[in-house]
Amino acid sequence: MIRSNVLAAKARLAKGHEDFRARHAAGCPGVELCALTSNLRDAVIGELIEATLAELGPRGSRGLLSEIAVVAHGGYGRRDVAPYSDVDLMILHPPRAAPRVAPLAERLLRDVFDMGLDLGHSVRTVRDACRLGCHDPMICSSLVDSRLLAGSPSLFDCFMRRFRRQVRWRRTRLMRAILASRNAERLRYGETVFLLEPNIKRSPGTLRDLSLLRWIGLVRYGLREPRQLCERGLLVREDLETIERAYEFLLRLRNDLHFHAGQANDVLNRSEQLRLAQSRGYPPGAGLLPVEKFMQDYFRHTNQASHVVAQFLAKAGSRERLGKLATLLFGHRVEDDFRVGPVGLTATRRGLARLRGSLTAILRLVDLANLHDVPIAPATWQAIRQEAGRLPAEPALTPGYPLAGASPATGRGEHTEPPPEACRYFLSLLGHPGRAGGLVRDLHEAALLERFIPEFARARGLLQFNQYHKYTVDEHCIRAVEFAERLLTDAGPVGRVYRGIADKHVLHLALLIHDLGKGFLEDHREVGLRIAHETARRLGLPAHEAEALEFLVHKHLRMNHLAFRRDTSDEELVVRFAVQVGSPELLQMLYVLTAADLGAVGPDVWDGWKSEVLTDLYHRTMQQLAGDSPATTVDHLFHQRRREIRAALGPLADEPWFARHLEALPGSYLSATPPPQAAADLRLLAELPGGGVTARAQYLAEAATVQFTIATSEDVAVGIFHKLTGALTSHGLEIRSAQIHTLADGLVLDRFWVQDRDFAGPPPAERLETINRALEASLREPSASPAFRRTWLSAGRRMTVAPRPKTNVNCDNSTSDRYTIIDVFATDRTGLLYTIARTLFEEGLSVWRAKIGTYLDQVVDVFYVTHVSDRQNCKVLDQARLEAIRRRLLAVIEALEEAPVPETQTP
Amino acid sequence: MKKVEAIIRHFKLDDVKNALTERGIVGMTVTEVRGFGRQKGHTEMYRGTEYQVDFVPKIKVEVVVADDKLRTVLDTIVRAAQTGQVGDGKMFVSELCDVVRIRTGESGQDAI
Repeated sequence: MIRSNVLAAKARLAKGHEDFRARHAAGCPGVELCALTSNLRDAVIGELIEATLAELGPRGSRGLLSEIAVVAHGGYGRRDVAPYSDVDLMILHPPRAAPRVAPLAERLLRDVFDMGLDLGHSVRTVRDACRLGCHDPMICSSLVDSRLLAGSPSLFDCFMRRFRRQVRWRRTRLMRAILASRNAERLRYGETVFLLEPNIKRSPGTLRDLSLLRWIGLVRYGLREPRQLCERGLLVREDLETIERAYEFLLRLRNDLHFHAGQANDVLNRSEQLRLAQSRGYPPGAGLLPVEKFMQDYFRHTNQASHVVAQFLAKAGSRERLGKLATLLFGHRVEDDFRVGPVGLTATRRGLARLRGSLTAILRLVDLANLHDVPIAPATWQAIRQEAGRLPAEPALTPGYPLAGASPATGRGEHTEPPPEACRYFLSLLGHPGRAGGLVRDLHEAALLERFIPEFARARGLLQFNQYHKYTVDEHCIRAVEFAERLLTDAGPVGRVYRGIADKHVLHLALLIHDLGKGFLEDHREVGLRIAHETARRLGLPAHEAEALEFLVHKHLRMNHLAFRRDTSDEELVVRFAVQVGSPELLQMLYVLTAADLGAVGPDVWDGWKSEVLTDLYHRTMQQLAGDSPATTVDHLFHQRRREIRAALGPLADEPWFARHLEALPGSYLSATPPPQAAADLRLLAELPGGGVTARAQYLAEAATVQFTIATSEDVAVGIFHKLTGALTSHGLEIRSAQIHTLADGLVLDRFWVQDRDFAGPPPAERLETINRALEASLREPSASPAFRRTWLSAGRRMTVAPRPKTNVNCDNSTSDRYTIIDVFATDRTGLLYTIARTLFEEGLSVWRAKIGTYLDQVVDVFYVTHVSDRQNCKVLDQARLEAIRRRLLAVIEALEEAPVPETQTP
Repeated sequence: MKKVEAIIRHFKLDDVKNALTERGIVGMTVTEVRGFGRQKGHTEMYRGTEYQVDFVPKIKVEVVVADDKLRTVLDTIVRAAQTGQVGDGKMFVSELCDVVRIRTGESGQDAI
């Protein structure tokens, strides 16, 4: 049976609730509304206590109230009470009053519950309360915010004094326990601020973190209110204002969520985001949905709050004086002004002075921290953060993107350029995996990253309103860099490829900016391309790196789309992709970029399944670009291959010559040659007379091609490859594919697959014999350049020519240790291969391996070449020389195309 | 009611999804899976390089349909997922006892 006074109290609460709802709708600030709600509850509960005491008769009465204390704690104690927040009450009593308190407590707690409030309650002596508070971080943090509701002020004061004192004695342990429990909660509710459906009470940067500041403030310094911390110089004034703004924003937001849900709801889910953005009248803007703007506000507040709290905690946690001493004693100087010590990289007093106002000095510090793989000491970073805002020449806040057809107003978007020195340190930071991602995040939080990449200011907290992404644009990009860095120790194929990439700074920079084009009406890849162009210019990247950066950003979804949505066993598709990518080096970067992009979307997005599908496309494409894929050169596969060849050789395999050559067979040969063929090759080579040449032909009915195998040794002639191609071409044979291999002892094994347009079906044996002799003669006898026939470009075949893709030649020095790789992409034309081979020969290059592929009209040729320098065969490292070779190849191929193609002449 | 589990090539997912949606099948569950059928342990030769293939990455699509729509669904998936090569996948059809929509508690046909 509910008593009438309880029913009256319930009605009063309900009336208040409606009143508050109206006030909220009229725009009442969150802090104010929470205080009003809290006051109403105070009044109602106070009356209830009076009434209960009166009913309990003389045994209870006023005498009891002067002995005990009714205490509000937790959120209710702080007065941040949302419409459906719960109520935490504690009744403190002296030990002797225990029997008289019990009936009061029972009655009171039941009545509060009957009024419809969610209640947490306890009945404790001062001693119990302090003991519990000192041993349980949850109870401790709740009791920090104790507030006297009714009863004896002196008992309450006694409790608070004792509690503070005991807590301070145990502060180290308690702080650790409180932080650990908060960390566990953070992990459960997402470890980053940039969650797309955050819990506004528990996710990072939200109300819980603001309370954390109070708890640690009391435990560590005996000061509960942030305002007091500020007065004592423990919190910077700007930071205090930041968290007060965040507090107000979150309280009002929570009132809103509660009113709308009609219950205690703290999750800001997608439908609530949409509703709030609309009800708060966020206007739609260029490429940004209202909801995205609203959430950007949300992220700004929580991110800033999170950062202030993190800084405060770092400071509260470090024994600063001790840290300074330890740095002096145990640290070592890394540069004049910086020392590496137990608390991380610190700046000396002179160093701090140098950091002031110098972006270059700050970046030097950040770069050093990365190179030495140590964090920057909290005190030093704090100093930098304070300086960051005062650095001269702020870049304009609205960067001039999306540029094409931008309004004239963006003309003022003239950014001040970062000093070239600072850019160098920034690129060095990105070029060394270690802590680069985390440090870039620090730079972003200090608003320094936008000095180098102004678009980051706009991407801050930018929501990607879809079901796929879990993080905001800026966080996603930084996470992608961190993902790549972790590949350093990854045992899978992506890790192997990542470790082999020479220009990691280009890859990391591409990851850092790949999605910055989002949030405009235009396709984000197109905007991204312009951002990449501008970033490369700003940071002073050399032309070839700028080109790679632009390609990676512009095409960052290409490989993903192909791998997951297209049939990659379709060779033509792979070839088109290979042509688009153009070099093994770039393919490696795009492959890692694709993986890291996926990995940074959210936990568990990058998994073994996706890795397998993507890696398959990588291998297939690398096969086109380099002849074999570094990641497929798996030892066990080769081991098995050698075993099979040994079996095919039979007893011969045990002879020393065969055993030696079998072991020495290179990976590219092993992976490209079926074992029976390899056994035949070895026999052919074993029987080769000194300085001799042997050519063999075999018709392959299935592919309607003739396979020519030429065994010789490299000292027989110079320019073997170009002479052989000349011999074949002059007989009217069309070379479809070729592989040349250099084996142990300087033995050479070349294989060509050709089509003989003069014969449908197998050519007669004497024809093959003639060509074999011609091949052998071409190496033995110096001859003039061969005469070509043009009989095979029949009219019918020319019909299939689509718009001709551009001829392209790329040189790559980073994929192989010993060879320069030259990739040639062109449309098929008469004498193409011979012309290329001759040009390489004339340029003084030796071809060690080659892979020639013709697909319809598209030719993808790969040459592994060296030149002689200091009497040694080595890569062509001289960039100017390489560029000259590239240009000459382009020129000779283009000249071929311009040559008039005669009509079919039937002999 | 029937449950159809279709194992298809991963790049055919969009085609299958669109084809089913066009025929009014709006609910499906998709899982990334690995497996092998007749291709077991085969070695794929392509451009002279060998790939050892153990488990092939596939997509599993699960669709629940009323009995009279089963034929349509099977035909639709076959048409959309076919390339004609080995490895196009398989479909498994099984009888389904019941379906319950968690939000409302509806069951049977109404819950599909």
